[in-house]
Amino acid sequence: MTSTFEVFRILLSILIMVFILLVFLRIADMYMTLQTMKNKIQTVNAFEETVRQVYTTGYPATFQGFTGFETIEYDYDGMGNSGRIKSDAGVKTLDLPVFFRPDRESSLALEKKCEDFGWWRFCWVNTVPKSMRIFFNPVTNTREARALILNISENFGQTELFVCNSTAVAPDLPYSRDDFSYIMANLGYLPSSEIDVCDAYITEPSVLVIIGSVDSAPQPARQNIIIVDPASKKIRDIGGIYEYHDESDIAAFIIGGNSSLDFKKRVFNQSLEAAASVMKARSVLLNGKMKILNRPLCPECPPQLYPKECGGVSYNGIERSDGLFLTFANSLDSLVQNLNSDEYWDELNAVNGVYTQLKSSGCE
Amino acid sequence: MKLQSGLMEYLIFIVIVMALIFAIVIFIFVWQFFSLGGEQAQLTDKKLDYLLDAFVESPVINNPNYQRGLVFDDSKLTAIASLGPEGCQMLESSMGSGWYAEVNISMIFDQCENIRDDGGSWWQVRYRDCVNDLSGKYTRACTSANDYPNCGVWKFCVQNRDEKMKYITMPVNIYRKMNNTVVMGTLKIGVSVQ
Amino acid sequence: MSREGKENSRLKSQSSTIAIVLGVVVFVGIVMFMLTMPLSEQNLKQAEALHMNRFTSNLLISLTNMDTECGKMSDVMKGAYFGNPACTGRCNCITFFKKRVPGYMSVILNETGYTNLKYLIVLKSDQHAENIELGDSTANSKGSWEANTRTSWRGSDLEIKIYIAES
Repeated sequence: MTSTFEVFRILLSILIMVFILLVFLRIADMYMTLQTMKNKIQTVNAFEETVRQVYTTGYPATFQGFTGFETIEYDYDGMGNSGRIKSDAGVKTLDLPVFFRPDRESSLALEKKCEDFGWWRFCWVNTVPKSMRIFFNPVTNTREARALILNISENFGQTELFVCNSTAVAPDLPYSRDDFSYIMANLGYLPSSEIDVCDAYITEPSVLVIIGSVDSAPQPARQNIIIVDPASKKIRDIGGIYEYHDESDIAAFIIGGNSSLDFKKRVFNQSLEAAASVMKARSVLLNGKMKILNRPLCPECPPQLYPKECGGVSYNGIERSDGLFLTFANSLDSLVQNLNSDEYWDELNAVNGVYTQLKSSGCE
Repeated sequence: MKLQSGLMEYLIFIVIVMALIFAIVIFIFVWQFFSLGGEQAQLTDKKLDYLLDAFVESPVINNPNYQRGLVFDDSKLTAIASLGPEGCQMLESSMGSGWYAEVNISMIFDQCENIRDDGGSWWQVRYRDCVNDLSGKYTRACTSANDYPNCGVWKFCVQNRDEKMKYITMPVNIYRKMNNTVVMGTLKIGVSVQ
Repeated sequence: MSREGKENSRLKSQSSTIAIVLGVVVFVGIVMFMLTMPLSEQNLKQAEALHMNRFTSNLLISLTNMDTECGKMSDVMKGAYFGNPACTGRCNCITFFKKRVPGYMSVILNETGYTNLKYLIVLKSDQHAENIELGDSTANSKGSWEANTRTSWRGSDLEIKIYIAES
C-alpha cells in the first residue's frame, strides 16, 4: 500500500512535469514565432539587396520569396526618394527609386531603366510579377501610337506581351520581342486604321493598355484597364485622368497607378533639381576658368585645350561674348525656376539642346 | 523526520533540474543576441559596399566618357564640395545618410620628373616647388571655385564625420578637366558604425 | 536490501540524474559555441575576400586608365609588350613601364593603407609565348587576389593581369 508521502510525491512529480512541458511548449512557440519573423525580415532584406544589385550593376534579376507572407504592399507616399514596403515583417524603406507591383504568389522580375540626358542620368528599378502580362490594344492605329507601344514595352524586358484586337489574340505562347515588333509594324498595313476595342476579360495582375482617346472613351470598368492618349498626353484608369510626359511615366502608371506616377514625377524632379544645381555651379566655375585661359599674352598659362567658345571670349579684360558654359548655367537656372510649372519639360529640352552644343563644340 | 528530509531532498532535486532548464533557455537567448552583433557588423560592411557602388553610379560625379571604373570629374567634385552642406544633401538624397567621403589626388610626381629633365639653372627650384606641392595641386582642399584647379582634396558631408566610423579606401581615377588628363587618386568612405 | 542500502541507491540514482542533466547542458553549450565560432570567422573571411577582390580590380582599372607623359598607361603597356610601332610618342615604353610603375604602385598602396601587400603585374597574349612580368613573382600564389583586363593592338590580344597577396 502506498504511503501518503508516495502519493504526494507522485502528484507533485506529475504537476512539475506538466509545468515543465508547458514551459517548453511556450518557449518552442516563442522561438518558432521569432524564427518565422526573422525569416520574413531576411526575405525583405534579401529583396532590398537584390534591388540594390540590379540598380548598381544594371543586370536584370529574378526574386522569389514573398510566398508565405500574409500582406505585402508598396507605399509610394514615403519621404524623399523612398518607397516603403509594408509586410508581415514591418515597414522597410527603400532608398532607391523603385516601382514595385507586389505579388504574394508569383516570383518577381527586376530590371533597371535609365533616362540619359548626357549631362545627367535618372535611373530606377522596375519590379513586376512574372505572372503579369501586358495586352496592348492600339485603337488609334497610327505610326506614333505603334511607336509609343514599342517604347512602353522597352520598360518591361521580362514581361510577356500580347496584342489584343476585339478579343484577346491568344497564342499558346506569348510573342517574342521580334514577333511583337513585327506585329506592330504590320498593323500599319491594315485596310482600316481603326482597331476594335479589346473586350477580352483580362485578369489581375495582367494589364490591358488601350491606346486611344481618353475623353471619348468610357470609364474603364476594371482596375487593370488603362487608356493612354498620346495626342493629349493623358492617361486614364478607373480612378481618373492624369497627365504624363513620356513612356517611362506610362510604365510607372502601369506598375502602380496614379500614386506610382506621382512618385516618379516627384523623385525625377528632386533628382533633376539636385543635378541641375551641381551642374550649374560647375558651369559657372568652368566658364570663369576657361575665360582666363583665353587671355592673350599669357606665357604662364597652360596650352589652350578648349575652344574659346567654351568660356567665352574676353579681350584685354573686356567681355566679347558669353561662353557656352555660361549659357548652359543660365538654361539650368531657368529649368530649376520652372520645375513646378507646365513649361518645365520644354525647359529640360532646351537644357539638353545646349548640352549637345557643348559636346559638339568640344567643351565636354 | 525521515519523511521530511526525503521530501526536502526531492524538492532540492527538482529545483536544481528547473535551474538547469532555465540556464539552457537563457543560454539560447544570449547566443541569439551575440549572433545579432555579428549581423550588425555585416550591415556596416554592406553599407560601405553600397556607398562605393553609389559613387560609381552617380552621374553628377563621374565623367561619362569613361564607361568602366571610377573616373571622377574634378570640376564636378569641386562644384559639389563648394556647395558645402547643400552638396552633401544632394548626395545624401541618392546615397542615404550617415557617411563621410574624401577624394584625394595621389602624390605621383611625374611632372616633377619632367622638370628635372628640363635642365637649366631653374630646374632645382622648380623641382623642389613641385615635389613640395607649392601650387597646392595635390594637397590643397577644393572648397570653392577660387581653389580650382590648384587643389586636389575633396571632402563631402564633413558634418557626418565622427570618431566611431569604419573606413574603406579604394584606388580611383580623377579626370583633370583643365589639363584633359586622367590621374590616379583614392576614395575614402566612412560610415557610422551601426 | 537494508534500509541504508536503499537510501544509498536512491541517492546514487538522484546524483547520477543530476550528473546526466549537467553533462547534457555542458555538451550542448560546447557544441553551440563551436558552431558559432567558425561561422563568424567564415563570414569575416568572406567579407575580406570580397573587399580585396574589389580593391584589386579597382587598382588595375585606375592604373590602366591613368595618363602619363608617354600616353595612357594601357597604351604604354601595349607598347611595352608589342614594341615599336605600338609604342607611340617619344618614349621607350618598356623602360617606362619597368621604371615608373613600381613607383606608382608603391604610392597608391601606401595611400590606401596597404603597406604589407606584394603584387605582380603580368602582360601576356594568346598569340605570343612570352610574358612580361613586373613585381614579386611570389605574389601569384594560392589565396592571392587577382584581376585582369583585356585590350588589343592590330588584332593581337593583350591580357593585363595583376596578382596581390599579403607579404
